[in-house]
Amino acid sequence: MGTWLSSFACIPLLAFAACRAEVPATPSTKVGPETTAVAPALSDQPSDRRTAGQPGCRFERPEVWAAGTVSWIGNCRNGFADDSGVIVMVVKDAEPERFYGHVQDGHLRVGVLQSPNGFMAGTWVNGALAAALADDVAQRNALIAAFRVAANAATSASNSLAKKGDATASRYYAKQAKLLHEQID
Amino acid sequence: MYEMLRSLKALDATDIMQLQTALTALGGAVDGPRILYALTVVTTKTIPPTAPGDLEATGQVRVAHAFVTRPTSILIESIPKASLTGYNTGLTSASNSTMTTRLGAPRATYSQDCEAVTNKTLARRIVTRNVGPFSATGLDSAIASLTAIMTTIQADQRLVYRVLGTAGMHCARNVRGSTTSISNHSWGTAIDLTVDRVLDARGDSKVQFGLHLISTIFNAAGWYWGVGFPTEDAQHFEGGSALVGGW
Repeated sequence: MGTWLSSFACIPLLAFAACRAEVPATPSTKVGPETTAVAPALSDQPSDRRTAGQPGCRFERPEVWAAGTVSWIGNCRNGFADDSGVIVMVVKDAEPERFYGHVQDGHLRVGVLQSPNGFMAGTWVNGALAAALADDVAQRNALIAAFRVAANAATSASNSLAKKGDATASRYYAKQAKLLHEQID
Repeated sequence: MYEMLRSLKALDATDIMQLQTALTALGGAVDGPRILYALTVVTTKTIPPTAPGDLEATGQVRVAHAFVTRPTSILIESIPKASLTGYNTGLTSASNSTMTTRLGAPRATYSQDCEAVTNKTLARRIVTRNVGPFSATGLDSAIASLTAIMTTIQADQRLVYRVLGTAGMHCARNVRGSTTSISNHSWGTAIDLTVDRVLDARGDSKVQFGLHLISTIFNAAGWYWGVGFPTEDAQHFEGGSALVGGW
């Protein structure tokens, strides 16, 4: 009992409640049906994880998203999301989260998952962030590369949305591209 | 309930077992049933069919439902930089001039990518060592100091230690977005940290709680915390100017 209490004492629960930041709302993303795929939460773990999205544009759901509705902003090819793009996860009463990056045949490859708490960046395997590289210089380069890919994905989404006439969402993703580009000093 | 769930999520298996034993010993006294409810949510990632007391009426069951959709630790929760005081007291960031005078220029030109150190004297001092929770490559003196810091974190903030990771230490390049300012990572005297594999967002004026908990340990060892930069960079710690003077 003493062991957990002594370490837990470092977490001022009540004080933290008072200083937790409010998360601002972000604009909704309106995209055309040819680039949008919406699916309910997964209820199990099939061997092929590319079950999110609609028929004709399936993709893997990042495994850290246990629930919520997901959609893909980007191109589809041979029945799967494919190319640089953005996966948006919306859950009731919470800030949307996004994966910015490169998706190949519906598989997450490289990119950054953005949540209100920060970023998960790097190479992705089976919907999860791959293990950190043992060489921390290589790991740093991998993170820098992931943010670069993510910034490009945000720019692609911004351009795509601009063509569809959704100026608000286009501006949002242009701003996100700049933010992603400026990470990892 | 919001903070309780995320705090319980930060505990390790031994902590949880001890807590369950303690709650059983309580026999329903104090707030035992409420804590047990939260613990069940965290460990099973499901919502128990019944909730004790006023949890349902006060909306705390709804909070538990939201947690299950995205179960994260309190250690990665963001707190406003404005709510923090007392960090970096008596410390200054080491300028490019200080770094170059003390350790020499790492290389002649820099880009936005990590490149090799061409200064042979400095290159001989760049080493790779296990510093505790991970291996890091950096200046020998900085690595020794970092190892001592990690030992203290392990003793004083073991919940953070257990999920602490590196986003890299040595990397010869310019500061992000600059063509003239050299990053102190170039000398291997700075490190970026992750908490539970999550990178703190740079420039949002918010700080991961876990980084805040260990910042005092870095400061006590003479390391400057990047939350004090004009563009907040809470994941970044570097040897302060005085410390580098002795390296």
